[in-house]
Amino acid sequence: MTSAERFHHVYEECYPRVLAYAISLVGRQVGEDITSETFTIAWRRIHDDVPHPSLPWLLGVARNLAREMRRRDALRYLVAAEEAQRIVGGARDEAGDVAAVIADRHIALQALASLPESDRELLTLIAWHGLSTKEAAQVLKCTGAALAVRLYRARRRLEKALETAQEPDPSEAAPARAAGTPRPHREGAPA
Amino acid sequence: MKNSQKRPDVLRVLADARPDELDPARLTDLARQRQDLGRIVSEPANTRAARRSPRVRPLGAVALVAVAASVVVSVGTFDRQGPAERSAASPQASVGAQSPSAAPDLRLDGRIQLLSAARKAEASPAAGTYWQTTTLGQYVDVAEVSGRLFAVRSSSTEAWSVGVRPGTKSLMVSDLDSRTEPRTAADKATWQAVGSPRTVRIEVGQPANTHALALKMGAGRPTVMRTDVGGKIYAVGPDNVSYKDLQALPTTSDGLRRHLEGLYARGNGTEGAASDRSAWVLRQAGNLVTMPVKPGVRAAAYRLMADLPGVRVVGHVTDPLGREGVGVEFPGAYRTPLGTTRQRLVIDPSTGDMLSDELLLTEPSARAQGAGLKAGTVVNYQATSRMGWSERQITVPKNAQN
Repeated sequence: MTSAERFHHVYEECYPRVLAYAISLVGRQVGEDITSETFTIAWRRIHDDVPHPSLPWLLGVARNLAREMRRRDALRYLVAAEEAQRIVGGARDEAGDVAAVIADRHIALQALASLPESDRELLTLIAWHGLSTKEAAQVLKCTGAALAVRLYRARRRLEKALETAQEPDPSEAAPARAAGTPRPHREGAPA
Repeated sequence: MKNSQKRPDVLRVLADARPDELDPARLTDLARQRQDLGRIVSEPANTRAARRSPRVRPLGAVALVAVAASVVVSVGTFDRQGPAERSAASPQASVGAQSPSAAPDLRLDGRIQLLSAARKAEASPAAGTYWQTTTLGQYVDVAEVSGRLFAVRSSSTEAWSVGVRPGTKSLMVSDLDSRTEPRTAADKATWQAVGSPRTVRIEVGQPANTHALALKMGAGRPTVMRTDVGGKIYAVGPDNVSYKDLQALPTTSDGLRRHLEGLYARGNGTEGAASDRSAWVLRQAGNLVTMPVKPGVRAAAYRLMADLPGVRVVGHVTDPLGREGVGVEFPGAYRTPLGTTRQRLVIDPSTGDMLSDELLLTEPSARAQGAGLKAGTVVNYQATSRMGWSERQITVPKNAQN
């Protein structure tokens, strides 16, 4: 009885965050499907091993579903992941933003994009999806100590990448800004 | 951030660069989110939540109603007989034409009683700030420890107070005085013989797909939950509705039936067995009579029940609290680990109030028989002990958890 109430509460609370995470993995459309599946699994298991589905648990499920999709339906996954890349790469910054903000964003996103996938995953779980290091360790299924080491290294690499991206090298800076304007052929692609 | 002397933390920089598409604040209140919720919770009854919903709970959350709706929709998967055959096979179904010699016609009697409930309901007052219901719930399960079976019962009280004026909150306090204990003295003796375990394992779910669940013996803590969402205070079918929406419901039985059938078609299409639709409409009508609707709507709901195909109305039944009323039985049978069950509402014809919503065991499983449960036992119920208006919000016990 109260588990349905609890589920409803968790659903209202976590849906936007699970969806945001799923979008970062597979884009909006497939992200919605994965979010839906994630909560379906949470609902089925609410009484077995997951009395209180937590955000890290839900993100872990969403992550597994995305991975399973990569194995099972590689083509669909590639299209979805490309859409996610476009979003994560900041290809759709709003025109209303101040130019300097856009520039800073692009430098940061460019720096992020230059990192290995495992670094990107860890850094965005914390910086974008608001997890603590302990929660991120839960999602990535590693120990807190291992995560602390990984995070330390990932931060150093991000710092380095940011410095590189900020180098006043005109030949580098120009294409970086150009990426800020939507590329028509991608914008027009179906989600 | 760019060339400042003191560089901000890189994670902060990264956080600031998060693309807007990934901002949860922009992903709230999506239509997809609401649609999914209804679908997800209408999944089969693998959980205690679903098992525990013989009474559809007209909560301000679609979730709970959909849970109960799933119970109703699964009705009939076991019993392949048509409603007529089924009625004929049942001793109480002595409809005049089929068995003219049957003594008191409980069915006709029931129908008259139900229509009387409708007349009484028409006269009920309709004004106040908080619409409050108090229900006593009980659930029976069979536990197995060291190969020995015994029945346990979990009981609790629930107080629900729905604010209908702008700015008021709706609160539900459940699991008040909650206790799980052996059902009878014999069950208690068995439980003690196996060492009085604090936790016992029970089975829940559909017979083909049961799950073990650990149940803690003894007292539990109350839970409080806010049930209004953005001015929506109840769920009617697939929709969350406001007080204003409730007040706009049709006050004729035809109008109300069409309204509910429309909601059913939206959620389920026009396919499917007529008995499924009947059960669904009965469920919704049963919910409506516990909500702060116009007296005319409550009356319409009772009249509608009396005419639903496949629904049996039986006079002079007794609810689990010993109160006499008219029974309204859902079409079809519902299989549980305890055996085949039938769901029924009991209504007080003298006041038009809902008395109880219960699940009767009709054919106990071997496991249930092993624990002494017989046909006719009410295995789950939610009995309403109080329903009415108040000007004051209920108090939440100090030890209640969120």
